[in-house]
Amino acid sequence: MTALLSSIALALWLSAAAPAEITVQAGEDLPKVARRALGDERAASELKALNGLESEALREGTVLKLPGPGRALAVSALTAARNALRQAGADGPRNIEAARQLADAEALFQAAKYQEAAKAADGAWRLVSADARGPTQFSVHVDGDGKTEVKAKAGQPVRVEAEGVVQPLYPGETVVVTKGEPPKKAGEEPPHPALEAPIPLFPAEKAKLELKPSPGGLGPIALSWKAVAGAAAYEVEVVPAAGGKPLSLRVEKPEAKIDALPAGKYTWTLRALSEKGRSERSAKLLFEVAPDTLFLKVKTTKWK
Amino acid sequence: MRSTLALFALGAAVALACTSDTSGGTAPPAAEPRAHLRDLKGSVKVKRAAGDDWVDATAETPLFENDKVKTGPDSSAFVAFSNGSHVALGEEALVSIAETSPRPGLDRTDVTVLQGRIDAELDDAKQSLSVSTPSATVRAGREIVFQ
Repeated sequence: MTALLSSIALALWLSAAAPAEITVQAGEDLPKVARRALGDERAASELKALNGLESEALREGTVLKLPGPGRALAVSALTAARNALRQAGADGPRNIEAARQLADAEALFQAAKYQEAAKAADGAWRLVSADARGPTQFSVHVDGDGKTEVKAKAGQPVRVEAEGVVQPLYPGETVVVTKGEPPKKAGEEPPHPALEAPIPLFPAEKAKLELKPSPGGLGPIALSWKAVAGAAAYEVEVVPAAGGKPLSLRVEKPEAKIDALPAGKYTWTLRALSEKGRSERSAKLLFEVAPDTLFLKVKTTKWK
Repeated sequence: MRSTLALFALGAAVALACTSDTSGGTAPPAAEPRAHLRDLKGSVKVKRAAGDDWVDATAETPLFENDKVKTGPDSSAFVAFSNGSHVALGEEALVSIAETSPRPGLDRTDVTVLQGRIDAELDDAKQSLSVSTPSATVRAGREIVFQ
């Protein structure tokens, strides 16, 4: 029983610790990938270090490793240290040493050494923050629904863990945790998971759509896919298989309608969009647009 | 004869250990208290891990693992842990003194807050304190944040 529980705990830890990946798309370099994955082009240096790259040029289809949860910890520690140092000023040996440690932390962060960066930033914070001296004080309040509010009041930062997310809390900061959700700092949105790539449903792979004539070709063509949690809109692309100008659509619902397409074969793909970024492209499906033979037969009969 | 006497002595010792009660309630589940109650104000009650009844607490009541403490309206209490850290319970709080031997894969917890408010303080930066709630775990103490 003990071994089983240990195995489950280990498996959970391993799955939580598994690094996320991203696939490079056509025309993307490292800053563009950094913007898509981490919301900031400046994170290109982190991706470069994390993946052992020598330049920012990338080949389409390359799979890059993304930072793990340690990055969020480091960002929090760096933010606290920068704020404390800004308030403390640059005078005095203590502050000069703190500034040196913060510079080290920034360099470690750029090199994707997040744990070392967090420790260095925390050291800088301790040197200049008056709150860091004296006893550590914090309060915890639990309401009838189990919702927890944690407030760090003085001393060292405390660590709030929920749903596999760890949130350092510095004096003066408050975090609220609802059951089954990660910690959310007051006035801050919870960490957004990456948008999943949509799963196209219709037209299915190699589907043959027999359609009636319509201005511009044959139609209408209805496309649908599984809704993606957190998506505000979808970007659909239909490309003639024989080559030609792709048709792009942007819709808010998990469905789209194209009035008409010339007869022929097409591929279609899509991705989910939100204010935080775009998902990976969905699988590419092939379909064929062909005239409705029954309809044509009626039109050409001699009986008329 | 010598072995009979030894067995008798062992049996007596076991019987004595099973009936000893250091708190005035039911038998404590652990030999060493994890904490003591202090500065009681208003209605403060304790339920032992092995008991079903809430009994009035008194100053210096020892608290063992899995004991529960609750405070009534306009009441408060102070839980002093043996490592020097302490937790102040506000009114209408319900807490449980956590297990010393955590289950495999789980970190140690000192106190579980089931309801209400607590204010925690670590006297020394070398101490650590872990507080669990139904939705989160809070850890405090030197060098604990980035481990």
